Amino acid sequence: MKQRRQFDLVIIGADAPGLAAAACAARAHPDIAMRVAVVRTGDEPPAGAASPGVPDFVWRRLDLHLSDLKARPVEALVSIFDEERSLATYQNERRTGRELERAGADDGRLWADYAGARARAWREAEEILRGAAKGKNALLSGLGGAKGVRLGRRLTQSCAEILDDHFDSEELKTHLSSAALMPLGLAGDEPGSGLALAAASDPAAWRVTAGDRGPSLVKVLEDACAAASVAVFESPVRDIQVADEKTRIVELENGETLKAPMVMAGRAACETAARLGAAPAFSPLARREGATAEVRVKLARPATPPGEEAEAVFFAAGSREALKRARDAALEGRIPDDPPIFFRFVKDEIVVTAPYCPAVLYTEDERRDWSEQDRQALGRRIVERLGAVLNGAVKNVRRIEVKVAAREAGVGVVGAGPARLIAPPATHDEIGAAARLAMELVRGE
Amino acid sequence: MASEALREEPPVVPVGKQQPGMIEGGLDAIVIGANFDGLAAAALLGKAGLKTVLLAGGDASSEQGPREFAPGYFCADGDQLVDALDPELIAALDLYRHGLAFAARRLETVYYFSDGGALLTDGDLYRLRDAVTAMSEDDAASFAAFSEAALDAARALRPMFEGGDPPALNGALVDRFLHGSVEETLDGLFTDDHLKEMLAAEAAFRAAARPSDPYGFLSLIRRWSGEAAGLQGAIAYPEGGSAGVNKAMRRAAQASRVDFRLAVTAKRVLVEWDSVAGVETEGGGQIRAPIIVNALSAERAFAEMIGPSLIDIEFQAALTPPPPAVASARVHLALDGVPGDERTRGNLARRLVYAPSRIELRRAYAAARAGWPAGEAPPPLIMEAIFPSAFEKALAPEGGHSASALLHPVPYVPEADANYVAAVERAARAAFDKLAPGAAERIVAVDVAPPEPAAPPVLTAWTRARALAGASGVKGYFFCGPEAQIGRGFIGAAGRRVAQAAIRFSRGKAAAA
Amino acid sequence: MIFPVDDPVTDDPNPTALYAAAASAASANSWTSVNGWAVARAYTSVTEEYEAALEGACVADVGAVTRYAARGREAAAMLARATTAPVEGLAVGESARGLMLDENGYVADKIEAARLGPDLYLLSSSRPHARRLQLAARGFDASIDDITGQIAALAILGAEARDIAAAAGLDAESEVLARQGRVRGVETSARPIHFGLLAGIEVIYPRDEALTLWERLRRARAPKPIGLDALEIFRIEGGAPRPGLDFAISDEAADDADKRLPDEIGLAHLAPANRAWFNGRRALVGAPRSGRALAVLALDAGEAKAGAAVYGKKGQVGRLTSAAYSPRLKRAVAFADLSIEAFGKPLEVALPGEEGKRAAAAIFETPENRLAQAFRAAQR
Repeated sequence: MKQRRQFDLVIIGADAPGLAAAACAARAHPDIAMRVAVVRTGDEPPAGAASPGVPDFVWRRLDLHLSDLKARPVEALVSIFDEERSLATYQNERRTGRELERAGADDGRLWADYAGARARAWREAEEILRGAAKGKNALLSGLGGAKGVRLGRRLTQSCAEILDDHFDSEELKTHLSSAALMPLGLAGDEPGSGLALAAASDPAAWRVTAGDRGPSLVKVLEDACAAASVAVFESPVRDIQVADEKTRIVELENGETLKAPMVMAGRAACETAARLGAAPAFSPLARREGATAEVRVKLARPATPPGEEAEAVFFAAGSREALKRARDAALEGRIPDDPPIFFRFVKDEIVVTAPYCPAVLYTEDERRDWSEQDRQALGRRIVERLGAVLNGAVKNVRRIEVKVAAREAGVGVVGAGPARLIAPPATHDEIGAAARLAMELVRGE
Repeated sequence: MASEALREEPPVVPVGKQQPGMIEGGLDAIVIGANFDGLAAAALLGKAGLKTVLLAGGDASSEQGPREFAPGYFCADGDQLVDALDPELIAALDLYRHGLAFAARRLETVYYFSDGGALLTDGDLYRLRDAVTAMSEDDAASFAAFSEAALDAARALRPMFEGGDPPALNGALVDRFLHGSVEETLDGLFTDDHLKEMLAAEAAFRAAARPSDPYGFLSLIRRWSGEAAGLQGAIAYPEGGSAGVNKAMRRAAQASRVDFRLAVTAKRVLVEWDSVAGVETEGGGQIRAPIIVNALSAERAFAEMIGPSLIDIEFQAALTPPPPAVASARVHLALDGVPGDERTRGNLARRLVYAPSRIELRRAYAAARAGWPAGEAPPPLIMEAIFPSAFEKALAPEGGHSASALLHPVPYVPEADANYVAAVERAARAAFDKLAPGAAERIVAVDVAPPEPAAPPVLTAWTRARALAGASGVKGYFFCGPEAQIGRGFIGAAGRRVAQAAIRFSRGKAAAA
Repeated sequence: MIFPVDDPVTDDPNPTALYAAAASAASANSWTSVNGWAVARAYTSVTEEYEAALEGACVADVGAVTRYAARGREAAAMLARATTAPVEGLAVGESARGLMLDENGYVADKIEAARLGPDLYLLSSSRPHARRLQLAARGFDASIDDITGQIAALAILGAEARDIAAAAGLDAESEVLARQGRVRGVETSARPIHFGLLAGIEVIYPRDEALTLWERLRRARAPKPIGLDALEIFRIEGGAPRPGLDFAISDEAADDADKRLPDEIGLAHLAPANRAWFNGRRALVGAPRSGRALAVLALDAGEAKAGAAVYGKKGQVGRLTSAAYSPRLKRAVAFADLSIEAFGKPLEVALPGEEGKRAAAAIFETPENRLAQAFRAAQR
């Protein structure tokens, strides 16, 4: 017999953002405990993968200082270029400045001014943008006065414009563009992409990994969910029905059904969410067009990361031109020839993200959806690319898993709205975005 | 230097006798640049009783009348249509009295779609919903709500589009209009592809932002904020084409006793202490006045004419915009005749627009940004076409017709070379064939004008205009160059606003004295 | 001389050119980081160093001060634009003090500009301004390069500074002119400077020769090395506010209300609005005043802490921004950020330790004050 349960919010995907969002939503009201469910779909990243950083407000709300969390940030973002050259930025801004100065004096000296200005810009713009995300006409009122001109400039400046104005080294510009833009699926010449550079300076944009001692962030968040009485279900999602304005019914593969006025998709369940037609919450920052592919390359034995940066996120974009080409290709419904990718080494896996994939494919003028062959072709292309950038270090590939979170360009949803399923916007601060959205949903904002 | 401030009054020579090394005074204002905004500013200053001189700035003058581009066929360079000419400017200068007239008002538009469909819409935006309802019943209600909100927002935001302060506005859609890309905004509102393609074509037309770029949708609201012949969002064809509008403006300036000295080119703006003192001319003389209005580009007006040693570092950093990514191409076509059927005859007095499909438009932008690889046929573009000869018979020989088309987006090239001209011609012929099947065969001559840089997104333009309006604190210096204008076309609001500011400045000075 | 901001949070400061020499002399082993450079706070004892400088002379490693070399036909015009120093009027060898202002007239830094050659200028600033100067140089036939890492810089301070410098062959041309030259094959620039009450010579030379000259100096007269803490006393006594400590640097301030105009930090005379144009001058004339200003207080107490509240008759009127004990005055001196209404009225400062304990304080007239007053008088 089917079980039917009633919740205030169902979250699909039990990765770190999903769990943090669930725990925060359950504690969104000071006096009432909200009934929240999380569905573990099996799409979650492998154990040991780096999680997004935890923003302060989540830390406070979940009292994480009481946990044994020993997570430490990923040390570096590394771009790999031809001929085994690489360029890195570090969580420690001064270290970045020093390393850059060592590599090429002028750009390194500008680094401190650049980083400081970005961080200040983000502080100033963030509040207004957050208001705008809630549909409060915050943008228009924010544009008044001298501050408004600054804000307007920030919103409309492109990443390319800012970087060209500051730096000489094309590799540095490619690297900064990659780290700031690839997680958002932007190319660097669209208005507003300059703000992504600023947003990437947010400390929460840095990923964290579990320390050698102590539990992982996911484990700690699971405990936080348990403490907040969040129900956890383990099953892929079959479908979501809209019964009426205030009732969504989530059908799980294991036969259970969950009822809630709102359903939210986490990052991990991106393919499921895309299949079910999730609408992203509105964000003035992330204007992703097309789809993101996640490719897990399982190897027979662990590969060695290049250089000494074991705890790093690696970017292989090639050039800023390549980012633009890839985004143009995605807009035109083609899989880019040399897809820009970023990846991490997790035990015997390499987890690769290809952020510029078309939402729908066009052959001549015929549009079609992603097929299994398309996925496999993309997987092969990515392994090829990986082999090229890692200089043959990728051997003994056992399995390639490809997931494509394909969604069409669509307007962001403000509030719960009529959407069947709502997803947090792509941002650098994934936990923060998911937690904020979940709390807004249960508060009915 | 302090010594400059202490210097004795320069010798004054009578107006009009400018000679090298001579210093001329006794003026209230100097306007540099005889373009539309420059003329507008000069006319208003003169009308306010300020003794005003209009100088050339070394830029091409827009004073030409119709030009014969093929035997018997004439065209006017520059904008053909009026859709946002500042109503306050018209009223303040009484431009209708000075010869501004419309040969056709409230032009109807026919949209052609990639699947061969077409839609005739009324020239009155308030009646656009009738056509939409007929086309797509599903979207009728949401379009009605949208068009009302968009037209309201457009009216309310007009001061902002003129470079002023943003008004306080409420409405669920307003932030969306401000932030949204063309595609995401339309997807959130409508389901019908033709409706989306039609609005996307209008929003993306002449805009640099791709339809998927954030902050792109506002360009449609900007367009709808304008008015022609007293009707919001309408489009009109002025008598005499673009030259007719310029002529009316020049007459207005002459009527307000502006001293036209277009043979004199301003070279440098003299800044003494914190205020402008006059200009140094190409010939080496000086013309002195306490107010200078500059209608040239920001780069010329500040970095070259004042120089970096007298402007703020932060201000200078905002002067140089990135080079335009795409442009629009203006093409004049000579037709030795058109099919005589009723539909074609009716269309001659309409505005025809090819609205590409979403994928076509995306490809068009990608191709234009990549610079149209040689040898490949350009993808379908947005094209707006009118037939000036339908309004003014003299523009084409008996039986023939002249058409004026604007194609968007095309690659931006600083100099139009033979390759560019050939590729644009090819694209124009292909697009023209979509609007009037068979008519392409009647084209006997094609004239391709240099590319016009596409308009930056409205918020970008607004931000830049606001920053430049400060003129780095130099008193008496007023800027109304192209960067002060938001959007493309005959607008004149920038010229009108700086003239008003200059008049206030002048009165404030007089009151203080 | 410019006194740099320190940034003790830096995890791993770089050694200055003179680090090895400084480290061997620093028996107190008390260090801090300034602009990412390691600088000794004290070598032996603060009081000893202070008194040595007062009586004779001492030598300081000033490698943490940011240095720019501006070259080119329009180098002077470019610096005259970027700073308030009267650079265009400098003769070869002359130096001038000034400020860097942002476009709104707020103070971004204190600087010194010295003309070392016909088309060569040395710009010293308390912190790096890579971006500001990159932008400032646009449109000029001039280049500006950060040379901080390529040079060694030492300052000989005190009454006997010039004698000592002369003994080592490093003297300046005169009391106002710098000398460029080579001393035993080593390129040097010796420039007369003032540090609060102390006059002295600043010597700048190639980094590779750092220890050679230091040694030569030591052999000639063995001046005592002086650390930041002792210099801090001279700085406060001299009335030189420290950017980033006594007032917020405009490029870094989070809030406009924290930014300060030149007259609000007591340095109006360094940015005379009636001089040729400099960045921010037009804004300066009409800029809104914050109603606060910096002053040096002499306390009727031997100890004070930065951050302590300053009280007027009706309650708190400000707080101390930096403080030190002056062995010469036998009392604590401190910079205070005060409401302008509090000037000329009796003041009290909260003391560390017991709650509610306060000491009387009076505004202390510094050499910088006298310059500011003379400037104000001339303005009228």
